[in-house]
Amino acid sequence: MSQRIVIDPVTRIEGHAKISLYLDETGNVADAEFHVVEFRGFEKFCEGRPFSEMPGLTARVCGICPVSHLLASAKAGDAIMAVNVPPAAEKLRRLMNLGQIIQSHALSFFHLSAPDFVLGWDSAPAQRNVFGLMAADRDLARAGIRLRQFGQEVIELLGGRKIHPSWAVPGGVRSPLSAEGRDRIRAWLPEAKATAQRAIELFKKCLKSHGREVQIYGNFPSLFMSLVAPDGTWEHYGGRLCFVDSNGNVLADQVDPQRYDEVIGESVQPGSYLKSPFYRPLGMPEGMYRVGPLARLNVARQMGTPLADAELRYFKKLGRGAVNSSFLYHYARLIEILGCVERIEQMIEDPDLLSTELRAEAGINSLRGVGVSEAPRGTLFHDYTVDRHGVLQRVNLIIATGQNNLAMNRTVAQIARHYVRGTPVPEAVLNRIEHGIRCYDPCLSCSTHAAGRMPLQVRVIGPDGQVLQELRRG
Amino acid sequence: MDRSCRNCAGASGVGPGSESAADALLVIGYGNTLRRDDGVGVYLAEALTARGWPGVEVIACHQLTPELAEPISRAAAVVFADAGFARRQVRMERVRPLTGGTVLAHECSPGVLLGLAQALFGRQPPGWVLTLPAEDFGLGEGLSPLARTGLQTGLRRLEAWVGRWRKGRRRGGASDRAPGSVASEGTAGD
Repeated sequence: MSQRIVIDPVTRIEGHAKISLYLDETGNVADAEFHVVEFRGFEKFCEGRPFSEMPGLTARVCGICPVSHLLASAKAGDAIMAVNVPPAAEKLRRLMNLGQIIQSHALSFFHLSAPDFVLGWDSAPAQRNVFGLMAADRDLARAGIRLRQFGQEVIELLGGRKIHPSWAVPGGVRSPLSAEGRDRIRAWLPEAKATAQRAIELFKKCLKSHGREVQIYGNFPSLFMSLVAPDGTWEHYGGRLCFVDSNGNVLADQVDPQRYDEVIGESVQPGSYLKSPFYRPLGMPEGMYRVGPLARLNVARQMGTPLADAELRYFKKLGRGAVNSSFLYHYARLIEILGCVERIEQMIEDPDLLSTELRAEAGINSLRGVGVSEAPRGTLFHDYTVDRHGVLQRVNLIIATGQNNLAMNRTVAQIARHYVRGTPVPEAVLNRIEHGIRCYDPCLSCSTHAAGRMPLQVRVIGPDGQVLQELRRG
Repeated sequence: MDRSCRNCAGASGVGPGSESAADALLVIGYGNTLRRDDGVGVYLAEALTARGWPGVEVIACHQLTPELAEPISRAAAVVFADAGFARRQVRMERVRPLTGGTVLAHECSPGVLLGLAQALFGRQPPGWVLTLPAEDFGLGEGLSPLARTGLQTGLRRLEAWVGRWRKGRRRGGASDRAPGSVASEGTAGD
């Protein structure tokens, strides 16, 4: 008699989803599925709008990472206008993206993931949250909150608001950094750097006692994709697309983002509103690839800043050619935080940040524009087709989390196969399965361009449809 | 000192080396101004900023986030102003700190924030929730007639409450209750 276990919703991620585990007659996991069951439809209802509205519209796909959509959308508009934005505007956009990555990664590590591996998978659920983390190490918890605050302040000092800043526009940005804002950012840097380094040391210590998790949590071969600079330096805003395999071999390098669809296809999976992109030359499922911090660090040869480069060298030793364990997304995130802080340190004295030469003006010079940037969770694509008046005819959004969909499925199945032996399934095991998802830090609000809340329910269903076990949270 | 700007958390005072304002009452008005009455807390915060009440710091923000714990920990007291779903009356109620529960990226409750302030910064001021009438949470900007009236009532009630609170402080001895606070303070149009 086979059974189905459902974890619904998955907790401590952004957005909501459910996980279904299908057990065979022996009580072992035969298959697993990660469902996203919300739908919003940005790609359709944006048709008919002027492309110039899209940064403001698509920023509202998500209240968690609006900056990512803002920047990708503005870049798509740049391409439609066929302009190069002024150098000062590019630097400011980069600065905002660095702030975005810092705040998002800090949230993911300190609030969503650290409670598990610092407090333990089997710790009481009531304590396995940021309050429990505070009880264990108040200074670290406080530092983590302030680190996120720093990233948000960078965004706010540039865009005027933390959430949905309507600042990046096709052709450039609306306003420069003020001298006061520059001083405030500069004042934060020593603390931010120290917190990033402290978090890295903590995680490295945790690694010593989490070898099993490294082996089991999403440890499988796959491709990896991200933007990268021509010399192999880590990129977050510019550069071109690069695919590497699980041994670190380059399959495609310096692919023009405007031609992404020549190398990336999209498939639709039954039972979920997430699209599943894949590397076209290999088809499905061999063309599954991962994006985000793990992918960016596998693709890059160097971070371009001294402390982050030292950590990257250590990181790369954890794999052979490429690091394949999704558990090490956490480490990659921390290295990126450190690299972002160092980059801000390097650029903060640049007088261009205060420049008022920020906009390139032009009409419609291309009927299609693609904007690509690295969101905290991975590569984000905004693909707009317009008519000669600039009115959108077609919109395609490829979201970071959607590109990790197949990998998340596989991660859930891998963890479940190791830990689930029929029912009842202990809560600690359910949390391990959820943590596999949390490694990817998915933003499900974006991935179906969705938002919403779902009731919590875990159900084990027998082949005859009978509910054999039911668990509820909250 | 006002640190109000729409949808920011008034972060100008919380960077490294910033000074505390331990005698100030902190009012945090929050909500989504693109969901009509949901944003009435923000409108209240903006109105307070325009009035410039001495000794009152104001933060207008989209949602309550963990970063607010630090300015809360420095305040003498804190009032959270928000829309009340299907509420037709202005209410001012004491909120107790919570030391558990979910702290999400984009959502904290007033009680959780008070708990965070204590847990992280070692201090937790008394807190109140000012609930404002709201009925229209549809897409769009602007307030319904109910929310507009409730906003004015809320401002009057808050001003009176602040006066009583200051008097109570001048008499000395931190009171655990807002002087003269009641659970219900009349209808929105009162």
